[in-house]
Amino acid sequence: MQASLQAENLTKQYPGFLLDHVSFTLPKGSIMGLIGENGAGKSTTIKAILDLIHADAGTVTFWGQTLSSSPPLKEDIGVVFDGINFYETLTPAKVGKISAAAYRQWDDKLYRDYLTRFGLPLDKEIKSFSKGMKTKLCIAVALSHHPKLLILDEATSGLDPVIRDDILDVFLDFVQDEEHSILMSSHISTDLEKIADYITFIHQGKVLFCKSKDELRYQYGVVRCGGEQFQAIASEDVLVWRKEDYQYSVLVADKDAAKRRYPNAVVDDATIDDILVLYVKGAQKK
Amino acid sequence: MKSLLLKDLYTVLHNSKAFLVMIVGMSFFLSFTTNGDTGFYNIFCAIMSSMLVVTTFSFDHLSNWEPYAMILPITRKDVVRGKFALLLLVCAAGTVLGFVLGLLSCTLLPSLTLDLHEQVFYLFPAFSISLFMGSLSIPLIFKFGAEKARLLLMAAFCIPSVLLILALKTAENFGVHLSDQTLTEVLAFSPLLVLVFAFFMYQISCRIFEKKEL
Repeated sequence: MQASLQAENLTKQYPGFLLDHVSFTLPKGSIMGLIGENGAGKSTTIKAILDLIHADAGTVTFWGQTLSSSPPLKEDIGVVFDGINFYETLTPAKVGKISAAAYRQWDDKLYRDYLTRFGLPLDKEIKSFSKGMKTKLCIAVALSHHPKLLILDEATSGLDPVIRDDILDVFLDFVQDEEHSILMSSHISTDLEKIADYITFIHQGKVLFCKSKDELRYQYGVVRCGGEQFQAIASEDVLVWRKEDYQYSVLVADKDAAKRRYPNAVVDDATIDDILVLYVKGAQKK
Repeated sequence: MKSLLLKDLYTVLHNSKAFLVMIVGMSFFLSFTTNGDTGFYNIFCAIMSSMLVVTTFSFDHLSNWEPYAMILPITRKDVVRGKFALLLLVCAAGTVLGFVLGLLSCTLLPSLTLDLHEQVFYLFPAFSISLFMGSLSIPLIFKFGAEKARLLLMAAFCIPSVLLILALKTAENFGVHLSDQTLTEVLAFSPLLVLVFAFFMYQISCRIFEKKEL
């Protein structure tokens, strides 16, 4: 497996927060979703990856090279943050000129094609744009220098489902090229369920797991049961559990095995939201 | 670095109309209050122009530009270099603008007499003072941000001025008088001295920005 991005043991200590030896590998041609509750460390991880903060320990490599050893690597990386980073009196035309001066690989025709596709006016000031239009402009800029890797930090948050759907289609088009990859942090699990190949779950600064989405979708399950049945479930089958008003919800890594072993319990498919909520709010069975 | 300069120039130019109205208005106001000494125009215009760099930092802060700048294929040094290049540009432009306004005031206002030699002479202190103040601002803003640095900037501008006045007074008390020729020579060399100072501030800014967490 050739990696576009590899983070190894990224560590950063802040007062009251520790990003704790975060490691994952993003293979070429794939989309990885970075999930976790607010303050889990997703944005800190992305900042550390992009060298915006100085990690206390750990290494990040893009196609086997570090950013500090090879700054031109940034030509191949497109980044979209939550919110636009250009001052709002600028227009898309001026943003294009600024970006063209920055990137050797800048493709002005492609940029204008994206502006047309997204319905963005060339000469209107950004301040008159809606949030969705601003995000589309950022994505147009990020894609117009022919990057091989897109890094998106909550880029689709706050957008309506129609605009999100348009944007997700653009991302799916982007990864049609097997050299391309996307790392995408998002709260919107349905977006990740739609496009991600891998899910990396960060909780309290640590990576809880980094798995393929299909493994989560087809193997993980949530056992819904009463107290008596819950006591009967072997602790080695339980990843995490949570007591709700009228039932116990138990996350299991092998839902088919759970169905066989506990035939009286209801075993549902686990959504990313289920997994996230159970890990954040649940407990491990002793 | 070209992209950074372009971004800042777009921002500066967007605010240029209001800036020009203010400069011209203030210049004509000053012409009635400075006893015919047009040298103050040049220095005032140049200083106001150098403060445009501080304005670009405020806009950067508002749009959260710094993290974005670091995803462009440039280094942290380029970001600092871009701000100092902009400072040199606006100081030069402000000095020329002050010179032109000084000439215009002398031509248009009957209370003033045109002394071209004097006008040219004022180019040197105007450029030097504006570059000095701008160079002092940049590391402070990189360290503390545009908003927090404003108060510190006031102190940073006042302290050297007070020290200079005190040094001149002390020198006078010891019987050392600066002749017009000495003063002329100091002012003529001042751009070179301030360029060295600006380079020193650039190095400090690079160190500050290199360590900054974005």
